[in-house]
Amino acid sequence: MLDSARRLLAHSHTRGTEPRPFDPVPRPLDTRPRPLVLIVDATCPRRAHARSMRWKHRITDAWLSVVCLAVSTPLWLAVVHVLFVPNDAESDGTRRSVISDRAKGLRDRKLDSLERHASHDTEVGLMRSNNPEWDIMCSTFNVLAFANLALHEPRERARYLGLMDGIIDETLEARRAHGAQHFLLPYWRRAPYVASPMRVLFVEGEIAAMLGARLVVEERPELRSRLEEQIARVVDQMREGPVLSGESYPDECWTVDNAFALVAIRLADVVLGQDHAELLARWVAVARERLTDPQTGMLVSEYTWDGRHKDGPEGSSIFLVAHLLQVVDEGFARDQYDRARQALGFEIAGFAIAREWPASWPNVTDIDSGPTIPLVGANAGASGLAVLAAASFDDQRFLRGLLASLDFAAFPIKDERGLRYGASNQVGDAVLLYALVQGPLWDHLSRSTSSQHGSES
Amino acid sequence: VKKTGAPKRLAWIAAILLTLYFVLHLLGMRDSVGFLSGTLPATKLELFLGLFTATSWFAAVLVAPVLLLAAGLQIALVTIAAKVRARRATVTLAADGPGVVEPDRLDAPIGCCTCADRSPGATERNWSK
Repeated sequence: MLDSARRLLAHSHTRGTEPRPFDPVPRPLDTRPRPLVLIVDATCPRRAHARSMRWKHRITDAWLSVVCLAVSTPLWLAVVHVLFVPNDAESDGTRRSVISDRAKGLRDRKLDSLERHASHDTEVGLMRSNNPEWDIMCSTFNVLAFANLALHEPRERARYLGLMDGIIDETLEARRAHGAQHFLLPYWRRAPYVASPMRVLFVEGEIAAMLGARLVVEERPELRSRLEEQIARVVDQMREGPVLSGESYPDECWTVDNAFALVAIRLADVVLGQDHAELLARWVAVARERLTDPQTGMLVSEYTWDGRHKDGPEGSSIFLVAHLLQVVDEGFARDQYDRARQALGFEIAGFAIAREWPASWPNVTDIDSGPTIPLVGANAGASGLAVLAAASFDDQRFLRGLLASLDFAAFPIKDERGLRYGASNQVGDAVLLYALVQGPLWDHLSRSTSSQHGSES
Repeated sequence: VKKTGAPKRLAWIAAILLTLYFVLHLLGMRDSVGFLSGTLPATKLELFLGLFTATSWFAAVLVAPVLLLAAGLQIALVTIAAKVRARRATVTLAADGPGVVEPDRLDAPIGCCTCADRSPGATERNWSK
């Protein structure tokens, strides 16, 4: 069969007088003279025909390429996350006794940076030039992370305590030398604070939280008295406010700053043996009633001293607030997390991100949260803090997606000094380290509350 | 495939994208993408390099593999189509027997030997023009 086909094809290629197998009548001998000059111009019908055929082929190929690209794109997008999805042990490592490799890498990098002062000062300088708030935020998350690590790894406790003390002393010194405004954006001068005397809850609350976390790990008498003073200031400031909130900027109260202050009060209650349960409960009641967005049910991010909303629920605020409120009111915190997850979380093809604003609010760029990726609305600040919330609420699916996105889009850089993220900065890395090691400190607070309740009853 | 080389071009673009990112990676440019977190870089050049590195990374991870997949898919489709055509031609020839096959039932160039005119007597007509 093949031989007959080959014969036919061979015949078809011979030009001339041989009778063709498909010609019904053999043709006479062609005796016409052949052209002596090759016709190469465009008028040659054979060449024109060949050219048109080439174009036909090209167009067919191009169409085929387009079809293949259209098929390949969804195929690849559906599987690309496999390259970045963290292993089970890593995402399960949160809230467990095991510290994941990612957390170890971040920890080693922080230790190297802080102990050797290698690049730390430069990075802090760059951070301050961008946003002075990041300076104290970085210190707070570092201290919280080291407090958790000290509880995780009792053998290394002295080392972590040394680092925490160094950070706290530096912060207190800066606070004493330059005032709380040292950590504020310049617009704090725009107007006078409503409450008098001027107090910055953002700074006072975070300093108190740092002191409290440090003292939970181990007693240090001089810090104890400092914490007492600090907490008294914070509590006074909050009690004065019509909605039990203190200002961070003139006539600006931020939910996240007030949540930090509440955590500081909880820590102080455990460390100093005080009881501010009534204040905490009242704050939650007021927040439910006056500080939630009616459309989403989430806490707004910013409001005036008397409780008028200035902004809606913000991803870079609500995920952190939910985590902080866990030690104030677990049920309320869980409710806030679920709402934030629903309105701001976004999962696609194995990746997860968090948006900065829910659909009901217009996109507004905020200096704290960093740029937002158009169309999907993904935001670096919101996604980073969503890692913290997902880890603390044990939302494994969301956490795995967020960590996959982190490895995909945050440019992890591993070297002999540890791990850091190219797309992040000192604050971002501190938040991630804290997110991956958090648990023991909050567990300690929960246990202390239970034992207090037990002894009271 | 041989004439237009579309899959080859796709593969080349993918190779260029991957090489570009690899070179930037070796040059340590991953450090310069801090602008993604809202940290303003010290110089405009650093911002430009950061943008370039971020773009090349996403191109290397998202675009290059798609191009390679598409190239492979296209080669596979063309190869399969050619095999199917050849098989169909062979079967037709065997069924009809020699001398009775109509030229337009064959995909092989039976008419003019250099161009794709497959009608009977194409060579003669072309030469006579």
